[in-house]
Amino acid sequence: MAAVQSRIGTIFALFFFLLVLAAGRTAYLGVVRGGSLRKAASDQQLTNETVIAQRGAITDRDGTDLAVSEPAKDLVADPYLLTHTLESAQRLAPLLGQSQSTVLTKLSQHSGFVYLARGVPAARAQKILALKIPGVTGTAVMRRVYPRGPLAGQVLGLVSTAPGSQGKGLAGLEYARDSILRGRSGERHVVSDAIGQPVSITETRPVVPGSSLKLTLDANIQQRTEDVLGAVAKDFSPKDATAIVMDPRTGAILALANWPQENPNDPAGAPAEALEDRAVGFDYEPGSTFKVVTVSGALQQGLITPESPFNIPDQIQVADRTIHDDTEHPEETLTASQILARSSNVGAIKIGALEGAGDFNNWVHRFGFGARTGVDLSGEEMGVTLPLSHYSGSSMGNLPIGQGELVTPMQMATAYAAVANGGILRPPHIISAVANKPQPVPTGHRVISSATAAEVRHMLEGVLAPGGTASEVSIPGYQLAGKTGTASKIDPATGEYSKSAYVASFIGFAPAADPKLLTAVVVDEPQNGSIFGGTVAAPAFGQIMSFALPYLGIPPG
Amino acid sequence: MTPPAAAAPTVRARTALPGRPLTTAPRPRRVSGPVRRNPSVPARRQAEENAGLLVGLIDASRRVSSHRLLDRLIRGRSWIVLVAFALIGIVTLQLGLLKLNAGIGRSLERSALLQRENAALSIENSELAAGNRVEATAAHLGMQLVSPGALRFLSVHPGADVAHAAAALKAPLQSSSSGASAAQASTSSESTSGESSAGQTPASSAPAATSEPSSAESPTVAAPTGEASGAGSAATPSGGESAPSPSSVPVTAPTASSPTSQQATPAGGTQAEAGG
Repeated sequence: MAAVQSRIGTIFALFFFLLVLAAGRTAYLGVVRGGSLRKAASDQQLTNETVIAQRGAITDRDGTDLAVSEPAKDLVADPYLLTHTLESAQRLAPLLGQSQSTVLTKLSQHSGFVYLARGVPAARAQKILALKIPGVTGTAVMRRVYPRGPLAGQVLGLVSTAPGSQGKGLAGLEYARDSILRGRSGERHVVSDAIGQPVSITETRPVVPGSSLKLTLDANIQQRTEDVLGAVAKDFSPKDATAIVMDPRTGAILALANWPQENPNDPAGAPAEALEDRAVGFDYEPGSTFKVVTVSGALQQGLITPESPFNIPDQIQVADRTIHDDTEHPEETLTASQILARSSNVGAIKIGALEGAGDFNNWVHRFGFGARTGVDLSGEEMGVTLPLSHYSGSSMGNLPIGQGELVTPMQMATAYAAVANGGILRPPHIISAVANKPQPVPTGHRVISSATAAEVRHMLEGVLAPGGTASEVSIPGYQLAGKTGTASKIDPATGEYSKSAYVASFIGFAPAADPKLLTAVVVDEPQNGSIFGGTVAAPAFGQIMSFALPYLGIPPG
Repeated sequence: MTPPAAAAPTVRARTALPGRPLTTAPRPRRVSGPVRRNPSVPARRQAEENAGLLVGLIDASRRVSSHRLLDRLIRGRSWIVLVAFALIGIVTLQLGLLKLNAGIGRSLERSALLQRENAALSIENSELAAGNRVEATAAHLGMQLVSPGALRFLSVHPGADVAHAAAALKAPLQSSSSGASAAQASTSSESTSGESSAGQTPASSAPAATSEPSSAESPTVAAPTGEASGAGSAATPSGGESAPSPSSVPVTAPTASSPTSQQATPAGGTQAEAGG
C-alpha cells in the first residue's frame, strides 16, 4: 500500500513538475516575449489587403477588346534574405524571361529591395512564387494589355506603370477618361489561421471596378487605315501621317490612324513624337482643302452659283503679293465648279474677294475653325485663325486658299462632314457607350443650307472626275467627292514658305449624293518626288474607302 | 413681469414686527417668464420608482431561484445534458463560422482566378479576331479578299422581283444538289458580264459546301470573320447603320465564313435576280 502511495506521489510530483515547467514557459512567452510574439502573430494572422480595382476595358464598336486589364504581380527580391544567389538566379531567369546574368546582377545588389520584374501576368508570377525562394515576393497590381498592339495606339493612350501613379492614365483616352476607367480600390481586413487560410474576411472599403468604354472605332477599318498609312509611309517617307474615317451623319469616328505607330504595350519603343495623336494635335496650313469653306460661303450668300464664270489669269496681285496658280496657263474662263475641281488659287481668291473679309471671316468661324471640335480626345488643338482686326491688305490673297491659318485634321474632317451631312455641323465623337450606357449623339447646328451643301458636294465630284486634281482615284460603282490639298510649310529658318516641305492632304466622302462615309488623309512632308495631295493622299483615301464602303454595306451611288 | 408695487411693503411689514422670530426666509421675487416647477420633486419621485423596480427585480429573481421547477432541474441530471448541448452548439456554431470564412476565402481566390482567366481569354479573343490574322488564315486556305470592283450590288424591284421569284420557284427542286446546280446556273447567267462569278453568287441560293465558281478564277471570300459580318450586315434589310437602301442589295461570295449573309440576304430580291 505504501509502495502504491509512493508511486502515486512520484507521478503527482512528476506532473506537478511538468505543470510548473509549463507555467514557467507560459509566463516566459506571455510576459518576457509577449510583445514581440503578439506583433509577430498580428503580422502573420492579420492583414489589411488593398483590393486593386480592375480598370475598365476599352472596346471597339463591335465589342472587340482594345485595352484590357489583367491581374499581375510586381516581383521583388530582398537580396539580403537570399541563401543561394546563383542557384536562385538560374531558377528565376527562364520564368522571368531574362538572362541569368541580368537576374544575377539584380540579386547581387547590396539592397534590401530590388524589382525582378514588373507587371508579370498572375499565372506566371504564381509559378515563380511557387519556387519558394526566400526573399522573393510579389505585390498584386493590374497590368494593362493592348491585345492588338499598336492598333489605335495614340487614340487609346497609355497607363502609368511607375510606383505611386500605377494604373493612372497618361495619354489618349486612358488619360481623358481616367476617372471613368480607373474605378476605386477597396480594402479588406483578413484574419488567417496558422497555415495561412483566411478565417475571417471583413471588407472595410468596397472595391469599385472601373467602367468600360465602347468606342465608335471599328477595329477592322482601323486596321486597314493603319495598313494604308503604313504603305503611304513606305512609298513617300513622310515625317508623319494621319487619317480619319468618319460617319458624317453622326460624327462617329470609325477609324483614327497615325503614322508612325505607337505600341502602348511598349511605349518606350516609339519616339516621343509618335505618342501624339496628330489628328487632333497637328496644326497645319490646310491649303486647297480650305477652298471648300470659301466656295460654300459664297454659294450660301448667293454671290455665285456652281456655273458662275470667272476670268482666271495665271496669277493675281493682292496688295503686295502675287499669287500664282499651281501650273502656268493662259488666261481662261472657269466656272466656280471648275475652279474647285482644278483647285485654282486665283479663282478661289476671286471668290473670296466677292465675299469680302468680314463675311469670309464669319464663314471660317461658322465652319468651326479657331475652336476645338469638342471630340472626346485629349490634347486637341484649336488651330489658329487670324482675327478680322489683324487682316492686312494681302490677307484675302492667302486666307481663301488655305494659307495663313492653322487647322487640325479633325477640324477639316468636321467641316467637310458638315457639307456631307446636308449643312449640319456636328461635333465628332469617339465614345459610343460608357458602362454599357449609350452616349447621346452630339447635337449639331446648321452652317449652310442643305441646297448649298448639295451644290458643294456636286462640285466636289469634279475633283475626282477627268480633269480634276484627283482624277486617278475611283471606286467602281461609287460616286466619290472630295478635295485635294497641297500646302507649303513655313520654313522655320527663313520664316518663308518652304520650297521642299509640304503637307499633302485629301478629304472626301461617298456616295457623293448621299454621303455615308468620310475619310481625311493628311501626310506631312512627303518625300520621294511626290508632294501633291492628288498623288500622295488621294490614293490612300481611295484604298481606305474601297475597303470601308463595301465592308459597311454601303450600297453604291 | 414686475410684481405689483403693493407687495413689497407687506413683506417689509412682517419683518418689522417686534418680538417674533423670523422662521421663514422671505419669498424670492418672482421673475418674469413662464411658471417653473420645482425640479427636485420629480427626480425624487423617479429615484423612488427606480428603487422600487430594483427591489421588484430582486424579489422576482429570488422567487425564480427558489422555484420548484428550477430546483428540480438543478438537482437532477438533465441540466448536464442542457449545458452539454449548449456547449456543443456553441462549438458547432464557431466551427460553422470558421468554415464559412474559409469558404469566403476560397471564393475570393476563385473569383481572382476567374478574373485572371477572363482577362486572358479577352486578350486571346481580341488577338484571334485581328483582321490581318483572319486574312492570313483565309489566304492559307486558298481564299482571297474580294476586290470592291468585283462586288455586285443587285437592284431590288419590289413589283417585278416577286414575279421573278415566283417564276424561279416553278423549277423543280428535287434534292439538295439542286441548290448547287441552281446556284451554278444563276452564277453562269450572271457571269456573262465578265465579272468575278464567285463574288456574284447569291448567298441565299447556294450553300457554302456545295457552291462552285463557274469561272476559272480561284474562289474568293467576301470578307473574313469580322468583314464577313460586315458583308452580312450589308445585306440586312432591317435598318441600322450599315443597312443598305431598299433599292439595292449587295451580293457577296457564299462561304463558310459568311453564314450571316446567307441568312440575312432577302430571299425574294436576290433569288429573283439570280433566277432572272
